[in-house]
Amino acid sequence: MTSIIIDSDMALGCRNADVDDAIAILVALSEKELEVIGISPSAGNVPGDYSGPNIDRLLRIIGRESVPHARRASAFVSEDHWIEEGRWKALGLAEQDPALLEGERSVDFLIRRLSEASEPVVLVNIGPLTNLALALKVEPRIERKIKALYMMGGTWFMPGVGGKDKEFNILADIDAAASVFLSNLKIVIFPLDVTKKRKIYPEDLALWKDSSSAFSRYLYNECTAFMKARAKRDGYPDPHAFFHDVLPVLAIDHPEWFSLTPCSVHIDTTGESTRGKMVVDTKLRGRREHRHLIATDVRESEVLKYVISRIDECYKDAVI
Amino acid sequence: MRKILFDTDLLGDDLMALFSMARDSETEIVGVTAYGRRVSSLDRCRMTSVFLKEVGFRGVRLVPGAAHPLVQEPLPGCRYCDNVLSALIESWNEKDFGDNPIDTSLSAAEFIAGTIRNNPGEISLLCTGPLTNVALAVSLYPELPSLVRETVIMGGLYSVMGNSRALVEANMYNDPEAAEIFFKNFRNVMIVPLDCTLKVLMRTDELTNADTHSIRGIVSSCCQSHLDRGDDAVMPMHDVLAYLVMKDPSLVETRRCNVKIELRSAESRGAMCFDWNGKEQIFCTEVDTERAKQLYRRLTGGV
Repeated sequence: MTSIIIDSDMALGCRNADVDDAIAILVALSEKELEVIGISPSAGNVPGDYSGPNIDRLLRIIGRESVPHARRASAFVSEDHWIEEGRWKALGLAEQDPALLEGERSVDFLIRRLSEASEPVVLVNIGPLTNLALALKVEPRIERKIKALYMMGGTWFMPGVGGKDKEFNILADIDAAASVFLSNLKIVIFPLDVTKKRKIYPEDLALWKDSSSAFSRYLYNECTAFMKARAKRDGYPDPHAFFHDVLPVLAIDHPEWFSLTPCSVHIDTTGESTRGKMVVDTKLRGRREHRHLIATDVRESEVLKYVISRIDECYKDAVI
Repeated sequence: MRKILFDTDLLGDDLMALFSMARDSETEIVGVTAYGRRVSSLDRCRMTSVFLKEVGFRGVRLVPGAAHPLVQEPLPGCRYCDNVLSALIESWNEKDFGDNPIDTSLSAAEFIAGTIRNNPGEISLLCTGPLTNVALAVSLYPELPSLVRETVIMGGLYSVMGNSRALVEANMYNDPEAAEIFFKNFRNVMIVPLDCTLKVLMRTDELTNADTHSIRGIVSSCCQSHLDRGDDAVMPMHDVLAYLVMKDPSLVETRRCNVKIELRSAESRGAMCFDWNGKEQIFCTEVDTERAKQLYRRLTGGV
């Protein structure tokens, strides 16, 4: 049994926002060999005031509200502010109900849950790295309580945000990401190069569409709504999505589905053109060893089949 | 007849490029301009003068140029390559540079500018080292890009590990400001990057009778240095490929782009940054390795 904490910019619950954090959380909660000992919300796909209530809502729907979770995300460390003006505005969200934000901050939650843990924990980070970067600064002793960080983020060669060589989770909070990569954590990275290997179309989700489970049908509707909204936002003809965030969750128990390459990674913060770029170096260049692993391939068909059937099986009792 | 002006740091693969040019009856070498580091550009020219004589070539004009980058401190460069050069210089112990004269009456930048201005539309510019000399020349004479027939460089990378930093190729790394000035001024540059050059490899067992004593020495030393570093015993034909692509552009697949050189990044100064929607330059993405090697063999007489 592996204890994990998931840090997520969970968007399901906000109309037309990304769905893959929810899919990743659902898969994690369904894995027999994973014990989710905490979920912390971050800002990213949606503003920080929304991801916490979204997580709480999903846990209630599936009857798992006993899973410890924080309520409030911190603001980004970086001062780039491109998301606020762009993506968040486009979501057209109403002001959040303050009552839904009563509770612990993610940073305090991460420090508390990690400090309480008797054994080192695997941290799964599927949003910007804001909370972890801050937590490591506030309480550096938690570093040794983190067995490994499995994270979705960055890109090696696959085009990302705006067709450029940068990825959303890193670009959202560049300085936070840079700080995490400068820590001594063992980090396993799932970049766009693997997460975008397989586009997911509405047809791929037929099992959910035609399922006897109301929750599966609900997920199908949310996924296809996001696919359409994304196609409109980014201007392409074939509505599709990617299940980026499920990969770091699945890799913990199913390493055989992934190819990993040792490397040393840093996030460029000082460049004019390269700021926010994940720099992957597979050469040692005087280092004693590589501390990071980057996923270079995935058996995407097996992953997709597993995710869709597992979620359909496990959440039949969810009340939606 | 193609009139080539060759701006180079005269390392092993640069000499092999020069070897294939010198053996090519369709090419006239109008001059070789040098960039120097630990081994000075003058010493590199002397060594090259003798090298050319040994491969049976006379009358090439060699012009020493910049001794350090435009802004940053000079970098030491590959000590394996420099050792090869030093060894070559020592082994020849030749003092007569008359066959291929070394012109110290002017600088490489002035020579480049003068040659291009005196032969409008005729000069093919091939650059296989740091772009310092060309950056100086174009800063003095901004009209140069409109007067060259074509420009091909070896440098940069897109989807492979860099040889200086993860994102940075050595020629860009050695003088990022020069590279940025170059790309701001020159258009339709054929960029032959590591993505292609790292695929065109020479092993010692591929040497033929056409390869002279010094060519064999260059290839053997380079292969040995790679072996010492735990890599395969091969010599990438970086600069040779740049020349071959100038000869036969059908050896490569290309993609149009705009190029900027990163100047501020602490870790990635010299990184080539792309806008793939731009059309200013021509970046080589794929190479037909076998045909490239065949062309090298055909030019150098080792078929």
